[in-house]
Amino acid sequence: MDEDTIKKIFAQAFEISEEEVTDEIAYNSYQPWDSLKHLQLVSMLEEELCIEFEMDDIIDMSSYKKVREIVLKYLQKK
Amino acid sequence: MTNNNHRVPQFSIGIDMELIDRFENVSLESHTRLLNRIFSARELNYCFSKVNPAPCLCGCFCAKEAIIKAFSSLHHSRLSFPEIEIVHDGKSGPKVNIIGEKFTTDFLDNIEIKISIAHTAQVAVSNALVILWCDR
Repeated sequence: MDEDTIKKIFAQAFEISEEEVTDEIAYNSYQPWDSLKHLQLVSMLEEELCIEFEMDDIIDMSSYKKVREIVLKYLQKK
Repeated sequence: MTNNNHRVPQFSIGIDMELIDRFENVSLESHTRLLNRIFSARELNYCFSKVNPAPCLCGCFCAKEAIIKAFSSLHHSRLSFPEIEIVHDGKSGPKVNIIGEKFTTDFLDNIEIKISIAHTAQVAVSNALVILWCDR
């Protein structure tokens, strides 16, 4: 459920379908993922999931796989 | 004013550009969290006092990004968006404040930051020059 929600938010942020969201999508290689989109993604995740990221974790979100891992860590702490 | 006679400057530059339309539909009401992640209250007051805030928000964003890039190549402190404030006093070009308890007076005395911001109807661009004064 949590992983599905994370994927859904990620897909909404990048305006793509959930099927297109894969672990291989990465900040350095996925052209639409720039610094502004990164902050939009972070804000959407925080708002929808009622969490607040530490700055180091925001910087560590370098791929969809890392985003999912970091978000799940926060959700487990709730 | 710090005496730089016994110090040498280390220079670094950064640049950034963004499409203004990415900020066109951003509002204080519906994008509170995003705006507060990027901008200070003073920056938001300044930009949203404009008839069209988008070019101002975009220009400030570019300036911050340019400063972050310049800092990263100095391999010094990592800066984040809320720690950088772009100030428009109406007298000359934009100025930069570095905000945050982690920044000591000593650090702030050793840093100079110069920026320039420009935009067309579609695009905003900014460059930043960071000067870090080091002991000889």
